[in-house]
Amino acid sequence: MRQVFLFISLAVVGFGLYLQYFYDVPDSQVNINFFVSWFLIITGGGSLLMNLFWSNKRSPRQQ
Amino acid sequence: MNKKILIIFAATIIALIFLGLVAFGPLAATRQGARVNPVSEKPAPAPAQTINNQAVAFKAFHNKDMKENYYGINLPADWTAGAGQPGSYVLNYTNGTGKIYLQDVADNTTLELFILSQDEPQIKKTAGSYQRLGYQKLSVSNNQAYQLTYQSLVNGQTYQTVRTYISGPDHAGVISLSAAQNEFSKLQPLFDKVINSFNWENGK
Repeated sequence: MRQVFLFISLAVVGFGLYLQYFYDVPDSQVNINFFVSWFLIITGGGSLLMNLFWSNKRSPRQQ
Repeated sequence: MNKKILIIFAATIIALIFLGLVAFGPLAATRQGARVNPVSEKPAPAPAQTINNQAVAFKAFHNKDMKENYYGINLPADWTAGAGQPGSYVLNYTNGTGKIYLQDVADNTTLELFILSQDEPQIKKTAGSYQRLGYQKLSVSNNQAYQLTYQSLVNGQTYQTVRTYISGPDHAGVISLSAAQNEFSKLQPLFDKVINSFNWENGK
């Protein structure tokens, strides 16, 4: 499950970086592209960090 | 829940709020869009050209208004070039007017398709008595280019326009030069010199 979450986070960050640096933005959509690309980078980056810092400790009931 | 996770979650939410303010809110004005660069308005001396056995003085403009779309063009010294939108010039000269600008062409089309399916129909709509006189593919400073020649009626007078679209790394450069029809053939050699002097200057 954790690997799936990690993969989705990486995909979101990657897509955000693509929109920010490689996508040819029409002049009329520069502002919306700025918002969407940074939204994806921030949410993707945040979820990536949350995933990495997620504790692996199991609850006593599971042990 | 892990304390670090909570901190990252809170930081993400704060970053998103800040993003919203920068993109659409009161901080949007702090983001700088393309604007007329003072350098673009200062012409530099350019070598004189011989046209119809007459020496014509030229001045070189280097437009640096839009990132990835820097270009240079030589214009006759007696033409008036004013800055328009970022990346463009509005030209005035005896018996005619002109415009040089950057055209954004979407990735899902080609420059030629854009000209024939979008720009020419738009000209037809806005120009009175539009009549196409010619359309050709050419090369300007080793860049693929397309040239549309047409005549139209402005305030009861027939004008002939040569519009050249030069493909570029990001936007296309467009040079539109008009003159009264009876003066067009005299001005054409000068127009050709202007068009052929266009070159992309990215990285220079």
